[in-house]
Amino acid sequence: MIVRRGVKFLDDRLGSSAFIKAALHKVFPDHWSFMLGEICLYAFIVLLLTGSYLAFFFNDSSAPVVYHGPYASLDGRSVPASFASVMNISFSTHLGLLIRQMHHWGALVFAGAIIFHMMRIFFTGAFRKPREMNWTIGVTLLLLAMGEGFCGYSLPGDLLSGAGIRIAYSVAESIPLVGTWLAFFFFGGKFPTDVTTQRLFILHVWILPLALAGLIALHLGMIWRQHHTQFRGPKATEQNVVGSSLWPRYTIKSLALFSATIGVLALLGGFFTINPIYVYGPFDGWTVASPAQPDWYVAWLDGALRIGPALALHLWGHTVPPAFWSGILMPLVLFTGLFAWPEIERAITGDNREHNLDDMPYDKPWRLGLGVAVLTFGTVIGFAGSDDIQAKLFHIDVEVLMYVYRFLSVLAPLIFGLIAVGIGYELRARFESAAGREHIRRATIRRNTQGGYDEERKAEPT
Amino acid sequence: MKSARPNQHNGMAAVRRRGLRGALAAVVALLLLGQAGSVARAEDATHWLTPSRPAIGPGLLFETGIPAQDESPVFRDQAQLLREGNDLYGTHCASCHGVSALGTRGAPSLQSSGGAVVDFYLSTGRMPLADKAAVSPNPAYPIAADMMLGTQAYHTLPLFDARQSAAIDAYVTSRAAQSIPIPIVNLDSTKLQRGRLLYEDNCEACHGAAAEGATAGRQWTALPLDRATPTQLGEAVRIGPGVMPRFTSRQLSDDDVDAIATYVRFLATNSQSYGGTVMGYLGPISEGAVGAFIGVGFLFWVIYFTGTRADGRRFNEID
Amino acid sequence: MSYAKKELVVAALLTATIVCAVAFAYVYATSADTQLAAALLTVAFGGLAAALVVWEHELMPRKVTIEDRGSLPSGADKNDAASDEFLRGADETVGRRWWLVRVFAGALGTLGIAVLFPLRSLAPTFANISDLTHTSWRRGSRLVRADGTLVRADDLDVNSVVTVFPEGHVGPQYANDMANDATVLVRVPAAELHLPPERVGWAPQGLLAFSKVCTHAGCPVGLYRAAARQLFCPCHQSTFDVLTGGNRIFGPAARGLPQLPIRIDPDGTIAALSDYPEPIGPGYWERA
Repeated sequence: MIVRRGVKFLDDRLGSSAFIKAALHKVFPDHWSFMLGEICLYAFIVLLLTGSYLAFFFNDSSAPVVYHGPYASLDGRSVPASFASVMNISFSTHLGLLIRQMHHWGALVFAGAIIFHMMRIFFTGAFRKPREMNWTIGVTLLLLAMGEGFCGYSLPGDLLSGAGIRIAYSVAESIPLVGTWLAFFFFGGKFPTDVTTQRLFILHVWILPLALAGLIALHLGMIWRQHHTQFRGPKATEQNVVGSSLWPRYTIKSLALFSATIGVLALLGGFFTINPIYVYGPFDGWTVASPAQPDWYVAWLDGALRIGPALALHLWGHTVPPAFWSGILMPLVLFTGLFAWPEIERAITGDNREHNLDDMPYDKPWRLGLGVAVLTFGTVIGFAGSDDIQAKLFHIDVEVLMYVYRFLSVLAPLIFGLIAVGIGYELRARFESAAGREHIRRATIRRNTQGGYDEERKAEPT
Repeated sequence: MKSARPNQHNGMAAVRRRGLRGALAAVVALLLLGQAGSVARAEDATHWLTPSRPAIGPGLLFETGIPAQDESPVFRDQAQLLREGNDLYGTHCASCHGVSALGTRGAPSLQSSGGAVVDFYLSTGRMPLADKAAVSPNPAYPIAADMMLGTQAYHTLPLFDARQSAAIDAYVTSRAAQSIPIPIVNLDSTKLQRGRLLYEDNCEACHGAAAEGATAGRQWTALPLDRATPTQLGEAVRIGPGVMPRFTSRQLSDDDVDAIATYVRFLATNSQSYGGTVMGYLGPISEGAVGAFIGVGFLFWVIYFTGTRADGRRFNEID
Repeated sequence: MSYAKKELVVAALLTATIVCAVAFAYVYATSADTQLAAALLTVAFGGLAAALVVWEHELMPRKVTIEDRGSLPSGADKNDAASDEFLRGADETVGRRWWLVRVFAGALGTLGIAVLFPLRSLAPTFANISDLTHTSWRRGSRLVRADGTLVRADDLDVNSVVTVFPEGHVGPQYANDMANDATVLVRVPAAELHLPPERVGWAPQGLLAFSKVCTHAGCPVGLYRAAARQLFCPCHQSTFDVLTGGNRIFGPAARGLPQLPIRIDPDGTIAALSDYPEPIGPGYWERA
């Protein structure tokens, strides 16, 4: 009764009944890998909720105050006001520490889920026409998520994140021609400034979340309009979607995932310490504790800074310092490649058709190999970012590890990429012959002047 | 004829009434429980929202039985002690440190190493070196009088007891022109804040924010400090073993050393695990591993259960 | 498992959720124990998730729905109609008045650029590159610790290290300056020094002062391997040799640490002879 009254209420005012019927009947594929993106979405929602709560208690000023609170070893110490507010959240607010840790774990899970989701899209070719724009939005979301995380963990004004801000400043400075100007502009002067925390705060709670939410809405809107892709299956074709309808089944599964995400973040938030700023202590600008690492989704950049060449270019009285190669150039090349990938693949395959059926990863072995190579590269330089911890744990010289990682950062992607290509070809041959689908090889046969036949082969996917 | 009105004990209206009553009951119960809980604790009597956890302070400084006051025994029979020291030195030390503690190619002279140096190296088990084959000093670095550069020594079980240690010390001191006395380190919980500040300014760059240790490059490790007694902490500060810098009493007074030792012992006995396991204070890397693999991994498991596999079947559907 | 049993499983999971939710609220109000609250929240939400999964899997019939995609491309006619709609309006607006459109574009462009000008206020009032080339050190600045106490030459033995700042520039109001002025003061045996000839006078009695700001990415170079006479940066492991005047011997830094020329005054205090001879910290474009 209530449902009927509600539908009539809306329809009288919005003419919405046709839309509601279509919406509730919308079909989503059932395969588990299609829910990876939803993990990102729900992690984002948890971040919004916990973040809003924290923002009420956070003080974005870096002016010095005296901390007084139950945490004895810092009692009476002069700390930035932002630090003191996070200490109060952690120790003077009921369950403040739990919510704060859930928020930070949410960021790590958000970034991780984006990477895994991106892997699914990439390896199955779901970025192909008509979904190139969504791929662009997705890569942008990854960048925004990393930036948002960096701003977030830099807000408390603790020693570790302060070192991270210093490094970010130096990397910005390293850009030729405009580096110093950019650094002065964004940070408000010579490092350290009094306005950095304030600016990071506005970025973190307003500008970046707005961009993230807007792009996520666009991302979902496009999926709604274009429908999901789907894997090949007995009933699946390029013209339909096979799976569960939004109501009731997909809603229930999605709610389950939402609930599970909150549950997992609660588990992490209560049982695994993250970012113990009370151990690191407040930022002061002239000390840093060893070891010093950023959050994992930025660790690849830190690793690149460690193993990058100690090469400074001196051009006509100007300097391009070593931080530029690892901190700006390499990420620029990487992300340009990521953004341009749909175009690159289109140029390689010459394939401009609409694709609604997903490849299996082995269907394009070269794409599999390239993706594995890039992931391997990211993993290697990510591990390089903690080479000093490995040096301590395994009693290896950190200098030796640096050279090892330099070597691996080139060799490992090559090796693992080639292995992946080989495995891809093998799997493709096996699965396709098993499915009765041969990889069609079109051959053009021409009569030649000698009276024989010339055969020109060209491989084409089915 | 059945009435068109829903039965007053069933139907939507009744469900709503029951639901409202139930919710009200739950809220009332909550409030009562909350009050009951707070009344049970005297210090909470003023306001039920006052944090009731005790202050996170040095309540457990002395729990591991490490005495706040240094209790090293004093041995009065100097002549006998010297004879014992002579024997012990000849047996364990002379092969590397040479006759009369003058040093050899393999090990530095101990000429000004009596007192704190001998006590530190012996009581932390750094000496005698377990790995004698590692005694080959790096010719790039000159061997200074009171340190060993060729290898990183670790804090292990000492070979000598207090008496033997004192004996060797007596022997070495008898040969020494100058020595650093064994510091007397007293833990004092009122110095916790100052100790933390001094630790941050002087120690955490190498030893880590939680004294968990870190690499110092090459073969050296700034060790975790949880195994060191207050005396050993003071000795290390004064002598600068290995590649560690040395802090004179003009730089860090005895009071300062007491404060630092207090903070280090506090860290050793109070795991800062208010938010859960600290994972060895390894920092963002361990957090990343847990978040990306355990966190996302767990959710992988969830979506695997809710979704289907490639062949369209669910996890529990067999062919 | 029978259908009724499956229903009971779902009910049990949801009951666990209810109990844990109430308990969570109670824990919040009383002990606010982080781990207990987290456990309750995990079971509450986990139970809800599990209940929903079981409900959908076991209590509802397995059903696969197929939906027709429809075709995305609308066809040439509709495309033309859409383009024509726009072009017709544009033609009505512009006609032959292209020169006016250019003026309009000029107006929009200049206006758009003009309203961006207030962003300039985000950059400091003196966007001075010379800010990067100077510190607070001057000729005669005496070396003090972070708490303001003067450092005396005999406070340091060989293998000692201390972080120093220019006198009068320490304290909460100088916190930003202190980050850049931070200087590492060490003492080495004078006989071991291998300084370049012009710097021999910068290290009286084996005392040397170096900028603490790493020339790679700006982290404070806090680790001093005293017996090896090397400064080691914890961020990216750049290593600097003290005896040769701060030369870089390992790591991604391309330059050595700038050295501060110092002298020892008759009263035993230490003073700088001048500011650093080169900009401290990481490299940047304007730096030669």
